[in-house]
Amino acid sequence: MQSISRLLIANRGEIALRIIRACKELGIVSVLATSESDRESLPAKEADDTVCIGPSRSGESYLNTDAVLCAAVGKRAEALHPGYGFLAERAELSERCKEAGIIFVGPSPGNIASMGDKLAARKIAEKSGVRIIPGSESIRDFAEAISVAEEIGFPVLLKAAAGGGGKGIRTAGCLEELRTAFESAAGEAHESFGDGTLYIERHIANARHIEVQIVADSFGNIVHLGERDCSLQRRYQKMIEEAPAPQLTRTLREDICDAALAIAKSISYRNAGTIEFILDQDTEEFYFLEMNTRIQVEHPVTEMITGIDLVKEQISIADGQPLSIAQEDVSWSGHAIECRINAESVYLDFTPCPGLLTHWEAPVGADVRVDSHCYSGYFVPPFYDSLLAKVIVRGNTRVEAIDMMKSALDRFVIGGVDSTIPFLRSVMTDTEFRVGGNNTKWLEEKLAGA
Amino acid sequence: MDLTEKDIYKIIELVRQADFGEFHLEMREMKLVVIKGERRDDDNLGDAAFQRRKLAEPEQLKNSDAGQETETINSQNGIDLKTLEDDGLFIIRSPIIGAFYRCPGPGEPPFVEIGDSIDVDSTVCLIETMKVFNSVKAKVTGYIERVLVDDGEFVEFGAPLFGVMPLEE
Repeated sequence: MQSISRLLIANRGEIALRIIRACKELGIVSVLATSESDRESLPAKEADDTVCIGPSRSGESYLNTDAVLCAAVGKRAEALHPGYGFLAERAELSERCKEAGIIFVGPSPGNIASMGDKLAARKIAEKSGVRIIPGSESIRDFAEAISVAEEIGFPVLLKAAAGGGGKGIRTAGCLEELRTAFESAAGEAHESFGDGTLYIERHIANARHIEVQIVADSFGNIVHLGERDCSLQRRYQKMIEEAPAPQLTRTLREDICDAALAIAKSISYRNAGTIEFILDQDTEEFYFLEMNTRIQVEHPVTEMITGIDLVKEQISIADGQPLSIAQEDVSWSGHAIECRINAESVYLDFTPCPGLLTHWEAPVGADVRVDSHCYSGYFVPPFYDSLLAKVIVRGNTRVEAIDMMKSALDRFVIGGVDSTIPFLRSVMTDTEFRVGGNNTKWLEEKLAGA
Repeated sequence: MDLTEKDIYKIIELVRQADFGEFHLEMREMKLVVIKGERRDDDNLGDAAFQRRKLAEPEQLKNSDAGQETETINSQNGIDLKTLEDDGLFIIRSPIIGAFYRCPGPGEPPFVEIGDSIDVDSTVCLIETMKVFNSVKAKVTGYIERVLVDDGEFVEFGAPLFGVMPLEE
């Protein structure tokens, strides 16, 4: 019996729209928190009600916990969905919602805190019997970075201890590169997370990024919904994702999913989450990377092959209901691919290109899904990320899905701003991509050669 | 005069070596466009299709027409702010989301009443956001003509609070 009747969405863009639509399907009144520049956005028009929480700058609006909470309280929302990014993985929001008697659609503050600290998360994984990448504790200073890096062995990755979303990560191939990498990573970490503390991991050269979607209710039921392959990245930002991961043996798939379950169970995780692994293609060993305690951008590929609506499941779990599905009933059908369409110019090293969309024609078709807040005449603001849309297709086989994606991208017409469509289209016709199993360096190597 | 294939290759080579990035040549029965570095969307379909289709008008969404938009932002409690602004009033808007309080404390008189004169540094009200009280300064010199919110009412960022008849210095 559903008790949530009013929910505040503390996010913007396509994910805000996604959550609003889930609310509509569940008969929940949706209240959207907007910044000043998002007042007239498409999500704002679709929500049942809106509340302006601050000026355009994220720091004063979407990242402003007081303003977000005040909006929920003032608008009498019973629940709050943080989306992804922004405050989604700030334990403080989850904690303060609890104090204010507002249901946070996500895990407990404890879950968020333990997995938000990347070093603590590594220890949790290790305790659950899952391999972690050889690495260090937090590095005090550059001198320590040198000795640790030499002990682990180059190449190394310097990573933000309070990090996530691919920010605050730099590679150092040798000692000479370490100082630049150290300063750059610490700087970005400080800017993105308010904490410049770093740790070091061995950099696995031939790696694939495999992640597992899990959902868990408040009755102790935890289920995995299979894996996704997110290896195609540029500067640690995912560009193309797919499910299932190509060329995984059944055993490896089962082992990775079981490892994810073990980790989630060990912290009594609740709601939706994703556990990310690095698969060393040379040794076929996989290592825990990190856990994301939120809904992810690429959740649609899992939805397309399992038939499960993850956002509705999140709301339902938060509402105190048991999972809609048991592990033995989860089934996967076909192959799904997602391409993230960003307002970026491939020709100008992916410089963001905000501006007026003079033309917007998204592809439609059976098993073609476009998650987007954009429309013809929309002015893409310069204050936020450059994601315009996600195109997701599902085919019976991987090759069919690739061809469907190519066709969908052919039909996607965007005028007024540059987008990454031309590059994504070229990947779909690439022979190596069509074979599959490309590692995390592949996309950047492709771009360098293009 | 028709361009031969050789002519076209020569033009391409000239463009490649030149400083400019685009070359357009229109003749009676043909048009040649050479673009360096493929700055445009290189998909024939995209470009040609874009030219062929009539540019869509921005979609008419619910409440998307200008007049209605103004109404949505500028009306509250049935007050038509556009009329107030047309009458020359300056609208003090909330710099923060929260609960509006007219008085410094319970039982105390309000910061300002209708008719009071204010200057840029006058405190006109408090907005409380999650137990933190913020003073709102007038930022204008003049007289309070309208109070647009009730005491204790929840206001969003940018909500109209007072109508002020400004005084020119």
